[in-house]
Amino acid sequence: MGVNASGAESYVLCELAGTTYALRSDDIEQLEMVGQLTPVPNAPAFVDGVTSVRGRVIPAISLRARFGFERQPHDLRSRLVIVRAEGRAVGLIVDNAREFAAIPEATIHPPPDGLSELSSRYLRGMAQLGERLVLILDVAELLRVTEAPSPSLAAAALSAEILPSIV
Amino acid sequence: MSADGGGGGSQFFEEFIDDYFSECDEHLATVRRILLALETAAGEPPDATRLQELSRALHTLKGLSGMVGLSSAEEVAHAMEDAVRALQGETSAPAELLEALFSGESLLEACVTSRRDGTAPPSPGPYVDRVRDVLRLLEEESTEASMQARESVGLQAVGTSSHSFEFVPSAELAARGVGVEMIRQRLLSLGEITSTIPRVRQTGGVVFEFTVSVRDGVAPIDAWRADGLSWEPWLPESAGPVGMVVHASRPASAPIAATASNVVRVDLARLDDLMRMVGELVVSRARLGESVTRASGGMTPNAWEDLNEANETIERQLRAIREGVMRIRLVPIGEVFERMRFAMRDIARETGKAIHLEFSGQDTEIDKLVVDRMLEPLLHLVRNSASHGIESRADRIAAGKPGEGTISLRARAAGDRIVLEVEDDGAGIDVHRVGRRAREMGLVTTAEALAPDALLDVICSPGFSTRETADMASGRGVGMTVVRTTIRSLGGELFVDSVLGHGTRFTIELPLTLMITDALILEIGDQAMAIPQIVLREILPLDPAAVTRFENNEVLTYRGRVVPLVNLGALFNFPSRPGVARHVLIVGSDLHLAGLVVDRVLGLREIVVHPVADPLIAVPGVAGATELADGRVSLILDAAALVRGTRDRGARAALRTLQPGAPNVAGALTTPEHLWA
Amino acid sequence: MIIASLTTIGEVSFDQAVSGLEAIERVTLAPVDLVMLDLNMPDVHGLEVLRFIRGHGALRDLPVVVLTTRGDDDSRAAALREGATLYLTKPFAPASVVAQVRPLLAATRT
Repeated sequence: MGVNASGAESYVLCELAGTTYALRSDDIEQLEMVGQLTPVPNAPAFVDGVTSVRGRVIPAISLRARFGFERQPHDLRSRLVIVRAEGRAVGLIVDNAREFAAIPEATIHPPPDGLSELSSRYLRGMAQLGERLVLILDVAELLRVTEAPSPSLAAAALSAEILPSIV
Repeated sequence: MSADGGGGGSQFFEEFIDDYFSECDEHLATVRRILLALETAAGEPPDATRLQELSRALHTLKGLSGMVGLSSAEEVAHAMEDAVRALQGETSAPAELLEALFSGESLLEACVTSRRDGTAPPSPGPYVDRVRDVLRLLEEESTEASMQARESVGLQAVGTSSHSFEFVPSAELAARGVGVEMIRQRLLSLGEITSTIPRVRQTGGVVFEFTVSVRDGVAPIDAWRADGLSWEPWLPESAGPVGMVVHASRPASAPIAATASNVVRVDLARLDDLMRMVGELVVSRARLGESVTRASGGMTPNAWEDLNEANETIERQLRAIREGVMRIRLVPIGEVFERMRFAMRDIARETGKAIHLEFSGQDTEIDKLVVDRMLEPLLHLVRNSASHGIESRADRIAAGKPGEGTISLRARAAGDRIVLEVEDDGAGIDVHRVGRRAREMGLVTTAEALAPDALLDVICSPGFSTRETADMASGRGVGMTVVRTTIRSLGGELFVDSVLGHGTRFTIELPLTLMITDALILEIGDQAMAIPQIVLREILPLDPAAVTRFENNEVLTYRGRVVPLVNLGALFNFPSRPGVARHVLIVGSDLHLAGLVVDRVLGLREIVVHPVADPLIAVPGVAGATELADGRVSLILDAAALVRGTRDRGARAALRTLQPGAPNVAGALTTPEHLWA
Repeated sequence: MIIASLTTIGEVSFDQAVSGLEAIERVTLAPVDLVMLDLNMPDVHGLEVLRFIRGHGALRDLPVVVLTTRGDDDSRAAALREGATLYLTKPFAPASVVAQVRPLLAATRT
């Protein structure tokens, strides 16, 4: 469904702390405004709480916290991207999510070797989209329950931004 | 009027009033179904089986209404019975008679509703007169036919009727040779024994309850009463208590499937009781599981394996029981659909539109509570479609559509969800018009066209209507706001698709089963949380003087026992508001109590339990989540886990520390193992 | 008839019910030390009788020996689940019944 004739899959582009990330449209159930979140005590630190979407109670993850960035207050542009993986539905809070893009599979490169194994786990790859470097996220890995956020990925994202030469 | 208010003489029946309402609902549904069937086949001779069923339903309604002292309903039902009798033997159903029956049904509903609401019932007089007039006219037209009818119809028990007998054996009777076998032989002489239930009496003796399908014309002999046998006063015409009459010899060709005979009516509250007991059983099983785990050291491996396997088997079987109880709550959605057909008659008359109602998936089963709560929202959607969606005949023909509009009601199961659809082939929603109106109302600020989600948000906004005046059909009762709120409160969601010129489809997704429970809503810091009522033993104001503190723990002296306190605000890191008089909820089993400290108690609600199965949010102390009326999600406390926490967390140490200076708990302290094991 | 042959045992007195209902009647009318219950009876199934006995406060601990021709595991498990004290499959020798029942009786009497 997300793949067109030229082998390019459809992605939703999200912004997070100035970096562009891509999520496969097929993994996304819907995009919502960020509503009321109910905090869940003793949940992992990157879980902002639970919210009700279509009659289901699902967790909402702060991708900023997940990637080790500072949290920021939600505004009108903040979005809850509801993704589905392995029978679970989880909301990802991003700074905004406004664009769709078709990214040909052939233009997606594996993450560079320089990244630590932990950081590269969340990335399926990288692609150059015009002037922008887009980090393609692995939804299944994002939803995996791990003890702590991985600050090194934030570092990787930032360094990727200043290292366009790798693609 | 005051006679209908349930004065002195009928006070005795007040406790049966809930049963009365539910039985009325059922019989009124039957009346509606048959009237619609008769109307559909109005050109043919009315079906005798249908008429008989209709008479029976009306007769029952009359009897029940008499029992609760609602004489208005009694009179209306009586007049309707007369009208039904007149239908018998007619070659076609006269329109004026059917119309009178339809009005009668509405009036009956109004009478019952008035009783439910405690308002004055409508006066039956004019209706009774109207039926009499209609009947007299018809009689003048064909005297003979209706005379015949009057004789051949009626409520006759056919073949057999069911009766209950009780036999209480005693040593004296036994000495005379009167025993249960002899009694059984006597009862067999009356007919077939359909059930025998031995029950323990409070005295420790036994009473045998027999149900006998007694052949017509046979009766028990009064002398049997001296032999310890008893039965209700014998009314051979089977005009006995309603619901006792079994019409065993129905025509062989009549379909049995959907008739009342193979349906057991169960009070929903009893099912909830059952569910609660199953819930308690689940807790007990969990306790057993823990004991089994602990016992592993003290037993031979083989013996422990057996024990553990038995424990796991019980767990599996319990799950099956839970599912079984859930399934009892499921009822087909078709009953609600049928009500739409009825409402459609009125709408068609009010709007002058020709509308065809189409059903599919009536057999789809859904939780009874959901069915009840969905009635009004569905009615609203259907009314909306009929008055706003479907165009006038002239407009439709001009648009190249058939003159008759169609509204489709569909139900289907999709995994663990139920999907209901209300679709019309009408004009569709004019997104631009809605957008314009929304901007006028300040609901949206952008000039862009509304996206489907935004469209739904707008039409579900309080006070939104594209018509300047609310019309009869769609403007009364609930609005779209309430439709969406109701669906969401049931854990469902509403969607809309509309194509201008071609029609609109509302899609409702609902969970198949609901875990519904009564829960206390609490406030901890600024968070509302829920706790199932069944785990609560007592709620106390927190008396700081009764609290003993040591190290990081607090305990409370409660009914001579030492109860560890769990400060939920601290545990969950929801800082308490200063200056709030806090409360303690005593939870747990006799062996292990704990006191949960909360800030405020907001009240008791019926909540729908959503699982929080996702590993990201499955945290100790939280059993699930629920959506409160304001749309916010609240977490449900897992009392059992919290009690376990206090036991595991240095409870023994707590006791030791306490021992010297706490004489008021000495009794408990002498058996610490009993308290804390 | 097995029951009848047992009546010859000295200190024990036997009473016989022809049906499940009668069995229920007997145990509630006069004190009984032990019940030997056939699962196959004309009216009420033996398991129903057992269920009644176990549901009766005063009879909860009454030893019930279930007799049946069926040796299959299902009916055995069902009888034990309903609270049968002992389960004997026919045919059996009276002597073996006595041997198995005597300790139960002794336990009741103490």
